[in-house]
Amino acid sequence: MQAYWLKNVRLEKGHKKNEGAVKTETEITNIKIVGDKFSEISASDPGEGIDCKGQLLLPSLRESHIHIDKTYFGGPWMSCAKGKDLFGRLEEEKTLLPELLPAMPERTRKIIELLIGKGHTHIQAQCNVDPIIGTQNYRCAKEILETYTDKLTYQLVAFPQHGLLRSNSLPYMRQAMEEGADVVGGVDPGLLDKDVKNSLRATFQLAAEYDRPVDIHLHEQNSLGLYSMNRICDMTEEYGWQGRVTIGSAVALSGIDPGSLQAISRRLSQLDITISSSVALESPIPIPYLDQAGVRVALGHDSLIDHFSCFGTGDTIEKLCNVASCFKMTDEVSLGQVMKYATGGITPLDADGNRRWPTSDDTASFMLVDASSSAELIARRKPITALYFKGRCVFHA
Amino acid sequence: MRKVLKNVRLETGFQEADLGRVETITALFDITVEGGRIIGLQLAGYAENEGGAVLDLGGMLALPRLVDSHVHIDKTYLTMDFHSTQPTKNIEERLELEAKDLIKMRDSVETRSRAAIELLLAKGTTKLRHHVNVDPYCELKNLEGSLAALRSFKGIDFETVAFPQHGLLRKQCQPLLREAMKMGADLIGGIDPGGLDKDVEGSLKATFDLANEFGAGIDMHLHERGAVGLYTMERLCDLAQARDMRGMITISHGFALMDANPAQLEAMAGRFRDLGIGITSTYPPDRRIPVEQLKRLGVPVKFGCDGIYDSWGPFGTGDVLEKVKFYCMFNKLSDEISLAQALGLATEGVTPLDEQGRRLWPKLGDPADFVFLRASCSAEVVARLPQREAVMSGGTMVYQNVK
Repeated sequence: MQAYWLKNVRLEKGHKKNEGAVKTETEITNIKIVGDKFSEISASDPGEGIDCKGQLLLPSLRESHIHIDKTYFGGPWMSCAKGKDLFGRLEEEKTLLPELLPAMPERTRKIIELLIGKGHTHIQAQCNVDPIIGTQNYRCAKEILETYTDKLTYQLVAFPQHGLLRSNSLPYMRQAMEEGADVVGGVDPGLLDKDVKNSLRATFQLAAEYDRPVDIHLHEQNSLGLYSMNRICDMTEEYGWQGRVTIGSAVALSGIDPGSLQAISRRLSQLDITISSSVALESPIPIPYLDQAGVRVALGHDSLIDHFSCFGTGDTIEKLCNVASCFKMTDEVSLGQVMKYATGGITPLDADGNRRWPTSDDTASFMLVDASSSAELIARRKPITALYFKGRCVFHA
Repeated sequence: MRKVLKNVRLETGFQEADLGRVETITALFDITVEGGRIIGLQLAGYAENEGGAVLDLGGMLALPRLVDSHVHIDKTYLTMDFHSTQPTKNIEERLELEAKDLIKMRDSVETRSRAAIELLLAKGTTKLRHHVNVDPYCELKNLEGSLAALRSFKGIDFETVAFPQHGLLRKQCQPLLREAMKMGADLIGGIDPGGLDKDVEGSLKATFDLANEFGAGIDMHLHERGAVGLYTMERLCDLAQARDMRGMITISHGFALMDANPAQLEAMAGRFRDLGIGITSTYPPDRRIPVEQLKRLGVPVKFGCDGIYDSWGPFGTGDVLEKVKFYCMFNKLSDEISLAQALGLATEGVTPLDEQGRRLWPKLGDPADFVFLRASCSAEVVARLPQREAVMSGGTMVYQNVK
């Protein structure tokens, strides 16, 4: 088992208050890694080790929702066709999916490499499964992701983009499950399948049959979205799927009245349902509110560049900066705490300034960054200089 | 001295593509530059070699110079230790905190301003309008420092707005503003005549009096929302008309335009158009003024970065193109032509092609001001924000990316 020291590493230590202003205090210390875990922190010189030159140690990032199959990323520039709705985009996929398949291995690899360079060690990857492409995109994604298991963990979601019922995708979804898909995906049971109850029933049945978690993309607006969300909660309860359900996008949470928001937040929290968001800055879902109500929130880029949209960067630090800017989280503590949306809840300090991470026995998946604090990293989008996955360096600038 | 820029990618038109998409057509050109202007423009390989330096751009795309039409470079924390933002209860408290900063930071204005300009330049901006604090705390120190910084850069064109951040009447800044104009400021600034000065008519009149005294234009921050904001705009138009200041006035932010109903917006935009009043937006996601409608109604709209990391907020990249990207994202403009046209928000309206794909830029006689990037077209640049590889101003390379 490997054992080594990281020397001169910067760790956040606490908050220092001075006339209303808060500053993050850090210390330069040494930290020992044994196997895939942190084992001890020691201020005294351990002798041999990797000199981190005062770089700040922070938890590595999680990309919680990204389509890695039907992408233009890494290929020639393509803008989107003008003025098409969801159904128009789906129509495009009939010719587009087979056309894009030959280029997919290279482009999927480029997305994964990009995400590693941006500090991610976990990817929740989305992949079309439908009558157009069958499980070909799924197989291709799986094969490629498997070559990166020394650098990250992943979950691959079989995603019935064209509507589970609408496009008769159930047999293909079943096939993907047989082939080992990690998560049962779903999409807009009302808007696309026009049958909220049966669409969700079929999704959860499949999940129960194969004992897999569920990840449903919900782009339905306001009361319809809220209705579907409540039915997802019902099913989660009925199937005993607490802690195993994610709702992606969940745009209906934006702009709803405080009473409804409170009620749905309570349910989502009680059922331990995760909300994953790409943070539409112009009409964001109320992330800080959800967080305070005990709802798990995770961030994802959704798409980098494809026939739906062309603006994704894969840079989660930038996304955190946008979240902070959007919700006016500009003070030191709020900025630092924003980090948790991209780390599965981990921050070096809690809101009171107590150190929570790293502790011995935490998995040594982390990044080194050229910043004086998490707050600075996020506000100023400082560069990542190295990424470690389970105690091993997988990227350095 | 004559120089030839070889293998420069320029946009030449649009063409239809599959799935109802549109693509930009480009071609490689050789551009001959002399005396800071374009004197030759030919397809690559056809330029006559008449001596002079040759610079091979290797197929990089050229775009017009980027213009940041509203930026504060004097207050930035760049070059200092990290400062997050101290929470305050209201604008008065925020101003008090800033006042302390201004006093503390009086002697580092030039250094910090330089860092801000370097950041802007690295993003391709070679023309900027900056608002510099003029108030009892920094007095004229911020003006002195930022002017010294700006003048030390070659190829940066700038306009300086003397900005009474703490309120023109509220802090009786007229004598200081007068000094500022004598020291080289170009425009009279202003801020929320109702919200800060609590005297819409008096504050506007004092602003216009100062402008008229120096024959200068006005660029006023108007953050006020709703009816007060719209009322202030009306009074501002009245004065612009009475004092015959056509084309000399800019309203920055103009958030109240978000609150105008369609009839009000049309009427207001009509007045702006007739009086040549421009709107500059920093396009914050939560305060998006109706840019598209304003443009359609004939009002010139420009973008700027606003503060780059100061006591008002810890964010800011100095990239005016990022503002354009956000504009496209928020308005779901992801088709080729919309993306390409949006570029104009960061170039004072200059785009390589018009909406029909006719070539507008560059033309013979245009200043040799370019941003060079590794990209296929303007639309790609707006959507993907590639690095700025090189920046030319007046025929001289003023920035080159070494990363």
